[in-house]
This record gives sequence, structure tokens and C-alpha cells, in this order.
Amino acid sequence: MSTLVYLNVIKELVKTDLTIFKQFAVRKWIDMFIYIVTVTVIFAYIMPSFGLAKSHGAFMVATLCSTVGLFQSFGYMAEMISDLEGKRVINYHFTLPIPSWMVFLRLVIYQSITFILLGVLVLPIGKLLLWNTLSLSNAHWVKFLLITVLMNIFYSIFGLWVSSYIHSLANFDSVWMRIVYPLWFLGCFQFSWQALREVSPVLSYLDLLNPITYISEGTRAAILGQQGSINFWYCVLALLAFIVLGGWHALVRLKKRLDFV
Amino acid sequence: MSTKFLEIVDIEKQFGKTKALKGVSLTIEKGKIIGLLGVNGAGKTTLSSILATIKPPTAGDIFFQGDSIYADIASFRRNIGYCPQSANLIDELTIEQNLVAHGRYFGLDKKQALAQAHELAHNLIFTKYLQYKPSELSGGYKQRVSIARALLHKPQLLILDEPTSALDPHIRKQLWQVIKDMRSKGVTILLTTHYIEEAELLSDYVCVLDKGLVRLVDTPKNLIKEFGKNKLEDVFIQLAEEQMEDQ
Repeated sequence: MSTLVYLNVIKELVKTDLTIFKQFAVRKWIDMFIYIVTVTVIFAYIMPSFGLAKSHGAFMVATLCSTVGLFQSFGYMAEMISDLEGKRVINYHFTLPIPSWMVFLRLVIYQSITFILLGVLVLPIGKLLLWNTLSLSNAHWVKFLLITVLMNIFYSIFGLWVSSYIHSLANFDSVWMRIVYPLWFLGCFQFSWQALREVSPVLSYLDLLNPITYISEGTRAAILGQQGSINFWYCVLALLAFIVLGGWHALVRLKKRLDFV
Repeated sequence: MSTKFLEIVDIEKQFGKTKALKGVSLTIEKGKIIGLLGVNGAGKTTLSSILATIKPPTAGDIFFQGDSIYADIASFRRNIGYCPQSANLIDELTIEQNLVAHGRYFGLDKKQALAQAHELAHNLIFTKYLQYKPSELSGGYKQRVSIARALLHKPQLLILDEPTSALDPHIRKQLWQVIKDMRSKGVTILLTTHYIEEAELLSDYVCVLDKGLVRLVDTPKNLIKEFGKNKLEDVFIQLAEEQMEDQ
């Protein structure tokens, strides 16, 4: 069968997924709104009274763009593990006229789209809350689009990879504490990689193994300008490497876990 | 003259240390219904899921109209419809949306898929539930929808894994008619069932699996004659007792 036929099946699968997403979109946008407002207000208006620079609000808004997919992927991981423990709708997808691995390709496409749809709120809300403090004059929108697409593909693959390791929803709380939280907090979420290097060179170099570091740094480079961040194109290259390696390993792990054709 | 439609050759399946299938070979002719029987753990569902391409075999091959299904799995999938033991419909979609989406995956346009969905809903008597979500339906209705989904794209091979186990007797009989109709349209059907009466009534051939091996394959009539019994159920009971004695 031709690739075009496969792509058509994938398109239909993604359309179905988006039909389902529409049912929850408003609730998820409200969740996002609360998240963005809370973080921005705390870092732009409360933390400066503890000595943090006022410009840190803008820094955090830029970084928030890079975390939406991470938190949303957490939900998709739970959905997948729940399905594997229960109804196994995924078995139905394995009977559709596409190669089995494309079932996961469709998940990556769909999830990435939803991460992007939810993430579009960050900059407008951030701008409204910070106004002059958040300057977008150095923003490079093509770079921002590129890093947004890449990071969300990565987050989706990351979700699949983690799901392949978790055998029960009962253990799922550990995903947050052991994986997501350390990666997120060490991934240059509240500080730049340069600042980390000044404090601890060893930790900063270790942190280069953390994909979230490149996502945070690359996103800030695209929105706030290159100064103070790891070179944008290094971030893109590193992220591509994580996508390829992570995608391959997730597929190997899922094949082992689900034993599909 | 019958056509060699599907050939299962020496299929083995290992789950950890357990060998669920130990070299199953079986030829299925076009347009026939083959009933797959066996006690729990015989390997019926494993064989069904391998044929449905959900699980790969550990060894062996399956040939569909002369070609290995693993050479082009997507093409083979286009030709099969699979109804699992427990319905795995998409909860967030209505029944109609579930069916139409399925049709779209198999290349039907929306109008065709909708028409097919309504026709099958009429035949399987769940038209009034088309706008319901699966969670609002009883197990029996979910199973009917699941069968409709398997039939929607008009597959050449229909794999039904205990399709009537959750159905009321009168609905079961209606489904039997649907299965017979499908056969008259040339659809080949692999029917896994616990109801021996059902297998006797519907199957052209019966395949009895025992501990991952094909114990025997024959027409229900020949089996009844060979074992000197009045009905297939008695044959199956004798086989099951022999198996217990062997253990």
C-alpha cells in the first residue's frame, strides 16, 4: 500500500482525536490560563519584593511557553497507561490499515498539535500581564515556531517513552516525582544555563544531558533574543537528536511492552 | 471449487515461559465459517489476535491468498474485520461517530460510512442508540456495535472472538443470521466461541484447539458421526474429558 494511503488514515485518526480534544479544549484552556497567570504574577510582582529582578517576569513568561507540552504530556501518559491496563483501544488501532508503528506517529502528531493549541495562550496573556516589562522586539518568530514544533514533538515522544516503562497507574505518581519534576526544575526553568554554570560548572555540564535545558534555552533565545542563552541552533540540533534517539527508543520499548506486529 | 484463502503455517506464540501456541497449522477456505473451539487456555484468543495482526507470532507464517501477511500488513488489515471479546470502542465518541470514523479509516467517504453505519445499526438493532456514547450502553449493545464496526468496511475475513458471549439469546440468534448473511456474501469467518451449539449451527468446519495445538479439524456433521454422538457438544465434552485424563 502506498504512503499516501497511510497518510490518509493518519489524517483521519488525527481528525478523530481532535474531535475528542474539542470536548475538553475549553477546560484545558482554563487550566492553562490559571497556570500562566499564577506563575507570571508570582515571578513578576511578588518575587521582586524578595530581591528577584523585575525582568524575571519576562524571563518566566518566555520559559512558560516551553513547559506547556511537558505538563500536558503527563496527562496523555496517564491516558495511555490507563488504556493499556483496561480497554486497550490501542489494540483496535493495531487492526487499522497502517503499519503498527504509525499508530504512534499519529499520537505524536495529534499530541503535538494539542500542545501547540494550548501553548498559544502563553505569550498573549503574559504580554497583557507584563506589558512594557515583556519586550518582544528581539523575538524571532520563525525560530519560535521551529522550537515550538520541535519541543512539542519531543514532549509527545517523551510521554510515549515514559509510558513504556510504567506498568501500572498505581505507580504513576512516581513519574512526576522521579522524572518530570527533576527534569523540569533542573531544565533551566527558573534560571539560565549560563547562571547555572557560574554557580556549578559540573552541574551545568551534566544539565546538558537534560533535553528540557535545550527547550527552555532555545525558547528564550527565540523570544527574548540570543543574549544570555545557549545558541539557538545548538538547541535545535540537540533537540533533533533527542527526538530521533527518543523516538527510536520509545518505539523499541513500546514494541517490547505491547508486543505489536 | 473452494479456494485456498488463508493458510496458517506452524504458528507458535510464546508469552514469557508459557507457550500459548505450539505450531498451529490450519487452512481456511474462502466463504466458509470455521468455528474455533477449545477449553480456556487452549489458545483460541491468542490465535485470533495473531490473525487480527494485534500480536506477532513467535514463529511460523500466515498466508493470505498466497502471500505472507507480514510482507504487507496494512493491505491484509484492509481485508479483515475483528471483533474482540470485550468491546474497545472510543468512549468520547458517539456510536455513530465511532462507526463513521472506522469507515473513514478504511477509505469510505463520510456518506458511505454513515449509510453503512445506519444499515448495520438497523440489522443489529441499535439504531436508537446511535447518538449515545458507549459508556451509556449495556455490555450486549456495546458488543453489537463492536460487531458492526468489524463489518463496516466489508472485510473479506471476519474474526469474531466470542462475539455473542455478552448477548441475550434472542440477540444472539439475530447475530447468527447476520453471520450467515455475511457468509452468503462470500465473507470468510473465523468464529471463536464457547457456545458449542452456536459452532454446530454456524460452522462449516470446526477446529478444536488443545494446549496450543490443533487437535482436530472437520465438519460438525463428520465429528458427530465419527464420535458416535448426537450433537457437537457431546463430542466436545468427550474431547475435554480425554484432555483431563491426559493431564
